[in-house]
Amino acid sequence: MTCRGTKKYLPLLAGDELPYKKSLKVKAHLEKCPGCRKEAEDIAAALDAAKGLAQKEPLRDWTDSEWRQILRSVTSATVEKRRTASRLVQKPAFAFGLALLLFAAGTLWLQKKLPRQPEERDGLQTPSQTASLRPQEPAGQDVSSMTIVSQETGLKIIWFFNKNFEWKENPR
Amino acid sequence: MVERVLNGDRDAFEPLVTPYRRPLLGLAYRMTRNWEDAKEITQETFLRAFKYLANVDFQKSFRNWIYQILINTARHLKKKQTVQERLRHDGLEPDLLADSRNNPEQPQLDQELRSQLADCLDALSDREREIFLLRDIEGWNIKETAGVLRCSSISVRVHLSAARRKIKERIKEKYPSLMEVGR
Repeated sequence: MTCRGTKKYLPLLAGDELPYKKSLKVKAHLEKCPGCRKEAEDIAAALDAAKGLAQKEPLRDWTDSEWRQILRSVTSATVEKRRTASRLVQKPAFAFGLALLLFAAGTLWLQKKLPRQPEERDGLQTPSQTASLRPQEPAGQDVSSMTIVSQETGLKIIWFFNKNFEWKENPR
Repeated sequence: MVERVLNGDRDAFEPLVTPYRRPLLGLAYRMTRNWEDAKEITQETFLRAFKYLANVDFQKSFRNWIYQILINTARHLKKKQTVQERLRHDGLEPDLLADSRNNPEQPQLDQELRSQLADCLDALSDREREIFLLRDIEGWNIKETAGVLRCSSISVRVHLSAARRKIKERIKEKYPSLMEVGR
């Protein structure tokens, strides 16, 4: 334990308020550190001195006549009735209701404030969006073709694909 | 006893609060350093205690409850007092001066003790003073102190630590002879 760490705990050590394990650590440090030990002794001595002053300080009491007068005036007041349970229960219930209302208002506000682009952010698009982004194709383009020509023999193969990628070879 | 008062037996209030009449006055004095204010606070405490006796929680300590009222009343009074009023209260009190005429030596010693303790307590903030008085002077434990002041035990430890450090500094600086007595 460092001196700085130890000094932090010295006032509580003086009043025996440190947890047992912590106090052992602090005391172990005090045994080997004269500076911290002096500080601990000073705090303990000052605390004892303050307590001694308080003990010696003469405190007054009410005189009998004063005390009688106080009791007379105090007991002439009206005792207020006990607060009903419902009033006490209302407080947490009100707080809970208010919290719920604030949460709902916050959620609504966030929904309005934030732009709705979750799919675009992920790089995904719904089929309807894809269709809207794609240029309109003529109806004849439902069928695509692929032509393969052999350079050696001059043989030409043409494949035609329909929408479902079903193909026909050289349909005539 | 509380039940008796609540059932209309007003005389039962006296035995209920009599054990606290001196300790409460003493604590109020140490908080304010003025007997008139202390009396006013204590009287108001008893009045509030009587008025709101129906709200006592029987599961908890009556002592803690009445001390809590005293501390709140003292805080309230302190807020009300202007700086000028507080300055007026400084110095030797009139009734103490009257005492010193009868017995010139003893009140002088008492006054010295009072001023030394007052000087030490002046080094503390309001919160630190409340905690120091309850824990170190009245001898309450940390949990009770936290309960009365309505704060956490950690907060009490932090303020208590600061208070003891300040008291040490003040005594070391102004009254080093007291430290030798304390060793």
